[in-house]
Amino acid sequence: MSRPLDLIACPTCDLLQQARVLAAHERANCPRCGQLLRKGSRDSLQANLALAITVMILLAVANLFPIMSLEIEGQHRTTTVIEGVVALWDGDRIETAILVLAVTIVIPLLRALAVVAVTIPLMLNHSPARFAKLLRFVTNMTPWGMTEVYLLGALVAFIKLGDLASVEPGPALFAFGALSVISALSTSHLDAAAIWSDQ
Amino acid sequence: MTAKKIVTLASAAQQGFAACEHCQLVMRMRENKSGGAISVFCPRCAAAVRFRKPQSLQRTWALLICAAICYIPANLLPILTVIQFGSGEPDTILSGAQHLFAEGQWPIAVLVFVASVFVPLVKIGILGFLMLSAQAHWRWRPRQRALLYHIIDFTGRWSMIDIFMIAILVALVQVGALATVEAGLGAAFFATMVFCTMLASMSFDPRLLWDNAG
Repeated sequence: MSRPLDLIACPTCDLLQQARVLAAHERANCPRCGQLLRKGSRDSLQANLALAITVMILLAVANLFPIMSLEIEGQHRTTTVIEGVVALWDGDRIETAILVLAVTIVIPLLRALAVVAVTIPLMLNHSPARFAKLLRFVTNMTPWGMTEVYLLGALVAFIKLGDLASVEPGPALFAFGALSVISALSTSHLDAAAIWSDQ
Repeated sequence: MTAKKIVTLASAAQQGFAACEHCQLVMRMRENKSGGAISVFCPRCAAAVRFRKPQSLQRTWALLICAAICYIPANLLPILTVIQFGSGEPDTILSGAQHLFAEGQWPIAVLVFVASVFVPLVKIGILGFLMLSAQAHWRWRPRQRALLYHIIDFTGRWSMIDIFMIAILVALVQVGALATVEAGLGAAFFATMVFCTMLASMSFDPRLLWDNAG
């Protein structure tokens, strides 16, 4: 599609302005409100794909292995994310259980799967028009993935329990640590507007 | 259609243009007979295109009021009950933070207090202020008000810390008659409150801070 006038309307203040081609690592900010409008360098599709696959691997570790283990009066207990959700559900906190399940497992996983499903055809030079809804899904789901917040919640639980009993961190806790970094990178790398304007 | 001269420092909407919220393609909007914009879908990515987020003020107020109502039971009702040797002591968010403080874990106590008590209250207050300022067509520092909006939009999610901590404790501390942990009703109100504040800040349109502000 040809662009008769390359215009940008600032998403924060709606200032209409003429777009200019940016050099690599150049950034365009809105002159009225300072909002970042465009980046000169395009993040590569390979990087997006690699980050999404890493997120999926880390999510598997984060869910299959225990977050921490507790030793109290000779009894040994461990817990995973899913067991936490089940315990909330059993304690009649069904709505809270669903929310925790959604923001820590389901949404991050669906988002990563959608990123893979979008980037592979893009790398094969298919038009994004064929999976426009999927690309929109990725953008819409991004604010609802909360793995980094879960990490902090787990650390608070760890410190709280440290006074009552001896607690040991599990592999999932480290996976959540890595996830908070990798999913933040994955979010900042995927620029839906840039994917569309490349067409 | 003749090309209109682009006036400096004028919003797209004032000139009859709107940007697709998803792919940011800018397009001219046609008006119907009654002067309202007809519904338009982006020719590039097929998303609905509008001048502003739909019913932004009504939706944001509704969600914000819901969050403010939930904030009260979220703080007054127990979020967590630790039952040791058959007898339990319910903890609210505030008493949980106090316990941490008393145990000498003051950095964590401050974190829990800021994330669970302070941030939601400030978020509700600031969003309410931004809505009033947009409705009263204030001209005062729209750039700073937009910055406030971006800050509360970013920090809202961190209030979930307490919910995740509870989700771990209820599963881990189940040592028969010795000690068990139960999630209280306060946790459900708290989760609902965070959910509503997140939806509220998403439905607020920062462009309203500039409309009619000159």
